[in-house]
Amino acid sequence: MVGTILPIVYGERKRGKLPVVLWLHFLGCFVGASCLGALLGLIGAVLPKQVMTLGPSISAFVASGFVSLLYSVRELDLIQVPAPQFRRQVPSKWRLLLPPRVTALFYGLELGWGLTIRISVTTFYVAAIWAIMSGSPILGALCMAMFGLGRALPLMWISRGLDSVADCRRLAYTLTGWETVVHFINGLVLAFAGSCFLVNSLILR
Amino acid sequence: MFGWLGPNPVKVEDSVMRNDTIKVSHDFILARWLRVVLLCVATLFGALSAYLMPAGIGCQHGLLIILAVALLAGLSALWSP
Repeated sequence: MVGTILPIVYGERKRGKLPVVLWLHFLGCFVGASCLGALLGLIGAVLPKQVMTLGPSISAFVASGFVSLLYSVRELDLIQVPAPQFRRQVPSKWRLLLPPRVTALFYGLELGWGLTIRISVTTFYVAAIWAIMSGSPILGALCMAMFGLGRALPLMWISRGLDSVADCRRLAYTLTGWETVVHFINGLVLAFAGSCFLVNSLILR
Repeated sequence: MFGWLGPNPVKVEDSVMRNDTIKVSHDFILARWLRVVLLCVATLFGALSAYLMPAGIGCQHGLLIILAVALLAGLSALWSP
């Protein structure tokens, strides 16, 4: 992702302008993720009453707790658990066909939406399940907006320290070496969150 | 550097080619058990944190954790191709 988005940003900054393109990407991520969350919350709101027998908040904790524990063992590479997803990436031809600002916005929207592209960590599913089971478009949008923020903020921070497209490529290469650590951290956080949600649901009941 | 977190298939293959099969399999088992132990510790901490929470703020506590989880999912997406 770094190797795709940041060269566009650098292209604009090189011409001595403010990186508006970066803000557009941020906006796209935030809006895309919030829309996904609102949609998932809406789906949860129209779910049959039998699914939400425990009430929306407890159902959300139970469902996301189970999914969280299940995917924690996958993230720690202990058991293979299927994670349904599309294997596609954002279309690279947009960079050639569209102006940089429109490209950054569209990339942000699709990356924030997240469902139509490859999902790198299964932590995403836990947030999505919680957004559905919360049964509220507002809570769903709030939850997924955090995903959008998390997706866009590092790019804004990283882009300040990069001076050339070669730097972007070097950074993308360096980040690859940390992928195992990222999955490890996600595994531990999912285990923590999963047990916390399940105990929470027992207490709330 | 972070080989102990998860076996890298390429490295395992290289080691096998250097006849280090036994050492690799020991490292592999050790790394696996270490991850299982850490998983159990994290699960225990999660359960304790919810159990020891004062009554009445369980929902807010859960909401804060799910927001943190969603933020982590977004941050980790930096490593997507």
